[in-house]
Amino acid sequence: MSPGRITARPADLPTAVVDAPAPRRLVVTAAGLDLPVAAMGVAADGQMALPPDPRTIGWYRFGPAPADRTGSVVLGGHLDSREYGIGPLVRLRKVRRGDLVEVRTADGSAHRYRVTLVRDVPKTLLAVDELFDRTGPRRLRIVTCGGPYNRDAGGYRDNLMVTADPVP
Amino acid sequence: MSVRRVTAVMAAGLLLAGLPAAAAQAGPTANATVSVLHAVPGATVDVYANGKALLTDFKPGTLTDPVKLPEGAYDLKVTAAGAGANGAAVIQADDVKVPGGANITVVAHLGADGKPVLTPFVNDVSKVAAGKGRLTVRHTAAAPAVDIRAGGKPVFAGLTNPEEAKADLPAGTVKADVALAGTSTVALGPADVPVKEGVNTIVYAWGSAADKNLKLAVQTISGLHHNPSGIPGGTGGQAASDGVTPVWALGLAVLAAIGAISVGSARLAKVRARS
Repeated sequence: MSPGRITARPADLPTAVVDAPAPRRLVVTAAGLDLPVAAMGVAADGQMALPPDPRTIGWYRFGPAPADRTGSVVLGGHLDSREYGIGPLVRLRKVRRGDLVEVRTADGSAHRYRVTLVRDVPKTLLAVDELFDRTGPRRLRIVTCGGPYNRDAGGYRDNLMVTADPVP
Repeated sequence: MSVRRVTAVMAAGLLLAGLPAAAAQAGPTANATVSVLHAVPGATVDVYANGKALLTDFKPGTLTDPVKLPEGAYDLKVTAAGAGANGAAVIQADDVKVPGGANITVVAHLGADGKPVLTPFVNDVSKVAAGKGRLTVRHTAAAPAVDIRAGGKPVFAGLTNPEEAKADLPAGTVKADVALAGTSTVALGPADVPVKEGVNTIVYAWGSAADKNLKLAVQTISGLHHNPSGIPGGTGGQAASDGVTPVWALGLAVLAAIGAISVGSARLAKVRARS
């Protein structure tokens, strides 16, 4: 290797980090869903933090955004809440393969996806590294609860997961 | 500048980049990931490994991209730019060992006494908990012991050249400054240091207090993130008893309610608590 092949760059303090625009709205016409999206992080128990109000869905802000070139954009929301009652994500179960999903981001652009998979996954078997993948193909994952509810076992048994691929 | 011989415990990879034959002979050895930071003020240098030029016109305050190098031991020499392979050494380090699998930053910097030295630092590339970033600070300046402060409060106290300290913090921005140890005399900063999620942000204090040219240099190593352990879904349970939930689910919920599957439930709860 010639000396010039090793590149060096100024080790300056990073200036303002330019992140891809955050999702602001999720629209799934086929299921009558149109809800605001809030940027969320990690809860104290290590799970993804979700907006307390089930009428708002959360976006995992440490993972990919729709304009990023790789990885899964993860949206997660409560199906219901003791305080607010049943939320619109109860209709996520009506989504079918082939349905169109639109995610609008803070810069005003609309990112369109087509549903490829709708399935229930026991929470204990949720493949989080696949779900929150940052380097694989661009995808959208919408997750809420599914399966039976058992308060003593921590609530709903399953996660309902909708996977969608970008529409070119 | 005086020549300083350094017996580095481990270090400086580049070498192999200039030694393809040695690399070929190395066989199935593990690679090390090596970056080099130039933190000696005022001296543009060339770097030689076993007599071959690896880096030329290497300027103060610059950092190389990480290079993968087979493990091994090498002789390193830093000269003034253009001095040639036989030129006088600004810093020399012989038999520098590069262990396989390690992620290392070799820093050419001033010792506490102001003389140039080479220090190999091993970078912590272990995973960071979900939502956190790692902040590493390294004292590589000709300066006495310092406190690294965040928001005016010491978080790493009494750091001396060439020590480092680190902590995993919630992702965000830290307003950091460097104060003389045990005092509120600010030597450097404050600066807004972004602690990005899943990234080890390594901040170097370099230069010379006597020459009033102390500066910060920053290196980042990304991809250290952990994912959240799961996604909670509902806290009410009302949706489970409306018509949208499949009938089988209601049946299970009833069974659960009367304790028929309580053993299974307890097991699930245990698994979740562990994850």
